[in-house]
Amino acid sequence: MLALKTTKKIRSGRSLAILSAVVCLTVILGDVLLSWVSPVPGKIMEVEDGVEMLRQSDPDILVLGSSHTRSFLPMRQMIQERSGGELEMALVPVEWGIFTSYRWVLFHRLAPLIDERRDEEAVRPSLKRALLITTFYDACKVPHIGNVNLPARAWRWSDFWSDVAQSGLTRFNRNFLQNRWKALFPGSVLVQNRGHDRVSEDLIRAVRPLSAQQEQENHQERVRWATRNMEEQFQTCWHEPELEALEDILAFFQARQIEVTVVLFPLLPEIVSQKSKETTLARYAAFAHSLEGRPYVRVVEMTHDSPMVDGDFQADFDHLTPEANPKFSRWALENKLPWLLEAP
Amino acid sequence: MSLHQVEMWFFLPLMLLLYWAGSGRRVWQNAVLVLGGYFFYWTWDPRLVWVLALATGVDYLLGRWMGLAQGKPGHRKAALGLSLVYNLGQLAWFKYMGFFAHSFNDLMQGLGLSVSLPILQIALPLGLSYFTFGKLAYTIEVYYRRTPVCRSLLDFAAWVSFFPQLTAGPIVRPRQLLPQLEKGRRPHASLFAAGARAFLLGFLLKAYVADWLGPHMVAPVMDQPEGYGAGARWLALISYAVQIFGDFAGYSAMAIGLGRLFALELPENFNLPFLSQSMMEFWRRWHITLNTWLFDYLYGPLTMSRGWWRGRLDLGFLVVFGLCGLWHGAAWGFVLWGLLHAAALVVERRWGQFYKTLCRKDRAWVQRRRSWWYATVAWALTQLWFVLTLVPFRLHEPSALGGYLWGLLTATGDKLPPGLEGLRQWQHLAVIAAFLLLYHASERPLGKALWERFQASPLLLRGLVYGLVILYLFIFAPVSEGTFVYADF
Repeated sequence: MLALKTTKKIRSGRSLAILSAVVCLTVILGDVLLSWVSPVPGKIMEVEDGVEMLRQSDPDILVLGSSHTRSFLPMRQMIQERSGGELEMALVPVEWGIFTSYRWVLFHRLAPLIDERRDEEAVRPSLKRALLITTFYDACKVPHIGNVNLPARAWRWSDFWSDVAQSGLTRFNRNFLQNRWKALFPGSVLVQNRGHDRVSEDLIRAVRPLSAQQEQENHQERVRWATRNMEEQFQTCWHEPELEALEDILAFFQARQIEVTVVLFPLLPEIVSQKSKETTLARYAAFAHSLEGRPYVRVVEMTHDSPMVDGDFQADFDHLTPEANPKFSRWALENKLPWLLEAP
Repeated sequence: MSLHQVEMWFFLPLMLLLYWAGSGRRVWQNAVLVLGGYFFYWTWDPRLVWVLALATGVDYLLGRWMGLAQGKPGHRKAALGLSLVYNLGQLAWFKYMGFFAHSFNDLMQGLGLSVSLPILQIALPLGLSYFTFGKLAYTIEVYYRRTPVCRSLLDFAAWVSFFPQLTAGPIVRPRQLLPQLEKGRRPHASLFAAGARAFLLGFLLKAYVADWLGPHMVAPVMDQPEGYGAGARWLALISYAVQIFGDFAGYSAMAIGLGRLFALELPENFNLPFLSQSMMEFWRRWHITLNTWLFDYLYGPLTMSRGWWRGRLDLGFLVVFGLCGLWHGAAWGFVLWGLLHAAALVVERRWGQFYKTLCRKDRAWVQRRRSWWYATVAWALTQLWFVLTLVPFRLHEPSALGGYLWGLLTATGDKLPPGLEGLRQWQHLAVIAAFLLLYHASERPLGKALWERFQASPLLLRGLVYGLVILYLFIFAPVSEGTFVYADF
């Protein structure tokens, strides 16, 4: 097979260096050109940033939960301002998380900091309140996701090696390396988007843009899909291990006399059907409200009654836009969580 | 660890850095290879590293014993016998124990007897079939004095645990790698360039061709063929042939490429098998290292021995290819696959003999054999047979196997595999087809000339082409599951 044969065409190290440089330049240039068509998504706040925020401070309020936790970032600023610097908030968003992921992050990454003591004195004695940001999705049985976000989003090298020592390199723990690899090339659209088809989609759109009608049809199709998906998740979003994880999280805070508020985050109104309200969402809300009355547990429902409108959500139908986050924070702080400004 | 997965981009630079830090120093370089090889193995399953270590130690010591027992044929025979028992026993225990126990229990149940063997859950050590065959070649060659005894445990361990060939071959003979490991290696630009090119070719075959065809053209149809018509089933089967070729030839090319980055040359394992015009030629082009191993150490000794087997060439084919099937996996589907290949070889041999008698009577038959239509028919029959035998290779359940084969003739249905839905999928099919055509055309005179011209073109042009290929892979190659089909064998 010719392509496998060695040839004498590359005789010197200099030729090899030139060839390698041309290959690298081509790839880098391609990467730069492609990033005009398909920009690299900006850096988002991750578990590591949240852990660092907690490590650097002695917060009064800890916000833990899914990626929606990031919408509370403006609230952090508001609380600081309105309390005259008296109250501090730390946020730990677990991207792509479900209850088992939050439990892992709480027990493995946050607990050592929450319980840290120096000379018999607690290092962070101020923590008296926690918000757990959830949606019905956190109780889902998601076999294709599982808690696969953990290696990518929350592990340290020590977690990775201990898992490899136990079960070798697996599809699960490989996610850690994938993320580390991506972190080495934060500005490369090729590295960041490999395997996600985003570059090819953007390329096609750049060459052949969709008409307004096609865009509208695509949007409607996605709305139909997301609506149906939420309705069907009545079947899968009641997974005992996830509910047990929630119990463990509540018990953790109760044991430390930290008041925990389970927040049901707003959903995009456009994809919430009557059927979803009566099935998937109703069951989750009923379950959440059943937790009320336990010591140190509050429940705040925001699923349907927030002022968030369709335009406040991103194209992923899930997260609020950066512009909508302050609006949400202001509304939530004034209407749903005003006691956060009061002394515990 | 997998050659085409992200971990390789962490592991490989570190290995190369350490390895070439001791350029020309055999002990240093081999120590790095051994440590790297064992680390590679450890990341697959930390509990089974001992299998590799023990297997290495046993054959090294048996080889040394044979070396010390010059003039003592009894001792040498005992050492060879122990090596055969150990290696085949290890293979039988890890790979076939469950299969034989299942088969025995099924047989007893069929006979109405209430006798059953316990089914043990035994993990199969990575690459067991590959390094076992490599080591068997060593003790057999040392016994027959075709290969000198390896005196250094470090060199021997570096050969057995050389990580590029550890997962899925090629099956490297001692005489192919040990002499290279017995001296220090120095970097060489042409070897690096050829290594990088081979790795890129392998990556393209594995990460794009095989990993796109698998989920888009093969698995949906072959796993659940209901609703698919005969056309879709044929397409899935042909795609499976290409997938398995891309997967395994891709792995082999990557292994060869990585070997060259360490200035070590591994043997070629695939040579354009889709050009074969006979099954014998096919097996000279497909999994070459396994095929030559089987012919050198099994078929040859069997059919050229002095006993009853001598000259029983057809029976030899059946035995060797039955075992070849079993080597691929502990399932009757693989055995059937092997036997079907053996049957084709038997028919081909008989046809060859018959044709010779025709040629002796009339020389016009010689010309007919050289005609383009004879070559075309022979090519079509060879490829058709290969493709058809892949049904038992993939579908081991008799009902699924029979159903799929029958469906190739009779199935109706209008379902399409996902790979035929939408323009973007057709783009992948077109690129894969064009790449495979170009790849195979490189063996024809025009293809050879074009390749030579490309190789002689300015560095800038070559660099640009390689860069564009890498760009394409970055954009379109799916992130795969991280396994190779042949790593399971």
